[in-house]
Amino acid sequence: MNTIIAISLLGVITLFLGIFNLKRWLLPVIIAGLVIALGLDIADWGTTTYYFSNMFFTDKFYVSFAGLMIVATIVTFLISAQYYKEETRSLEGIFAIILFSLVGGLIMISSGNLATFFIGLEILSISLYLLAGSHKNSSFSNEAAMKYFLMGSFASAFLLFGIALVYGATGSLYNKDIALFINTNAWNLSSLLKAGVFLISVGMAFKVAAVPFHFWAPDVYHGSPTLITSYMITVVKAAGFAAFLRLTTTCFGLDTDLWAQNIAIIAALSIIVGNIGALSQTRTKRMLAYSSIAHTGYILIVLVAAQKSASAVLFYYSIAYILSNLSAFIVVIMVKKSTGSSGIDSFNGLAKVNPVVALCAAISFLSLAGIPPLAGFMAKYIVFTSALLQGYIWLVVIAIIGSIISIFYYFRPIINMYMKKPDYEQIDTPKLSMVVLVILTILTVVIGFVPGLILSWM
Amino acid sequence: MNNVVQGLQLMPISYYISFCSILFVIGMIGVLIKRNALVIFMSIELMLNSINLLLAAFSVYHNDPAGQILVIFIMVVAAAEVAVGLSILVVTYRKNNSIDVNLLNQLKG
Repeated sequence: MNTIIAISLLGVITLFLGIFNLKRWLLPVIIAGLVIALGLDIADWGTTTYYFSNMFFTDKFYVSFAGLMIVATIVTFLISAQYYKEETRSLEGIFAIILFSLVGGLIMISSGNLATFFIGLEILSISLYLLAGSHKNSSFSNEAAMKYFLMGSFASAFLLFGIALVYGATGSLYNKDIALFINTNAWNLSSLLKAGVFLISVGMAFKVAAVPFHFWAPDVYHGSPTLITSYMITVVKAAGFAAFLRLTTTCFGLDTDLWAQNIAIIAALSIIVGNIGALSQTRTKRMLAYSSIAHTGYILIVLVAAQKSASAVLFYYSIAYILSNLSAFIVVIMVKKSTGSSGIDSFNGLAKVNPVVALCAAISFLSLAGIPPLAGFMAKYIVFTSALLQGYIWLVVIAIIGSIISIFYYFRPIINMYMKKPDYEQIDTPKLSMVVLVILTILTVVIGFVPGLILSWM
Repeated sequence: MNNVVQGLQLMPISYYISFCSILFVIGMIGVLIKRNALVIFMSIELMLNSINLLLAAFSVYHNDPAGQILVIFIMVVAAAEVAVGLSILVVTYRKNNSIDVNLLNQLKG
């Protein structure tokens, strides 16, 4: 809870820095503030505390995911120094909105009540509509914002209708009471409740971009400014999944028949459509957007199949996914700043121009594809084995076929980097971004070797 | 106040559910078939208002104030959403000189 208050205050302070024209202090203050928030978050470790008459609660799950999201946001801000270098307008608005959207994500994960859950979701979504359109002069950015806004508010309406129906069936908005109601009436659930749970699942599937509710995602991820795309694909996705898992474990009760089958089908479709869609892409951002849809599918398997260890497995997968995507996006931003293009061709000959950047990019793509011994492989391995233990053999078969397809498109930029001739002499690599990139890459390798350490955390 | 609640409780809850579902579906159809962004906003508002009505009805039915409080929250959120949506709409209008959503077709693939 202290974390949420601290980050909200930080957002307001950021706006004030803009008013008093202290541009130079903007990034240092934000990063110092986020580090303090991270400290406050870690101080909550190991305790379960309830706030505002059970409307919020913080436990190990919240602390871990909040920490992960805050660290990923810090990395986003560190990259922003390079991304917004030539920007002449003041940036405090964009930075403050990023912080507020982080607050929304944290509220969503810590909520113990469907009302606060909804408010957190909307704080997150409304901030993202603005961020998607934050390049005011680019018509791509406008289009992305408009599409995201229309689709997002449409999805919110479904989610809310689901919440209203669940409230009508159970008479309470508290997750605990709803779970209790579902568990005691497991053999005699009204169709009102079933429809409500179904609509909530549809709303959440929309928000995390799972097939068949994914059609906005490639356009929005492509059109948004690259920095914001990386933020949406990493932090926001992690928040969405953590909140979804919170809902299925604390709210929908033990009666998995109610939702598990639907989510298993959505997961299988996401894997198929995401991987096949990515095959034909010629732009890196769009390829990563489709790959994130495929990863949505893999992560949804965790929700269905991992049962008791679900939170630990989801945490491990999120770490692997966020690390690889962040380093991939750092390279995409570097390449785009130097060549002006975001096509996969712009990676041509990167290994000759700058071998370190090329190696980092290759490792991040390999990790996303799930090549051993990197973090991405370990994460997929754990997810697939837990699904096998639960008897979801068909789902694992589809997931493995999907992973094999994914190798084709992840290898295309790698082949371009190592086999082709460069069209440019050098690439713009600021020290800060380089340090972050190398650290992320080392972590991607190291975390692949120590899954037990993280899995036993939670 | 008690009289009002008792009066409302006389009507079966299924009437409210059917009415709100119909309103919700009308809003949904509006979003799906209309091409003018403003009309789509209005349709989304209709969907949200049908939810508000449903929550208020359930709240009276269960004699529990939580539903009515959520209605207030939804109104606040809807207002914030429209503020953001209209600003995006204005930027789009300046670019395209139109708010037809069919013109949003540059991102493909």
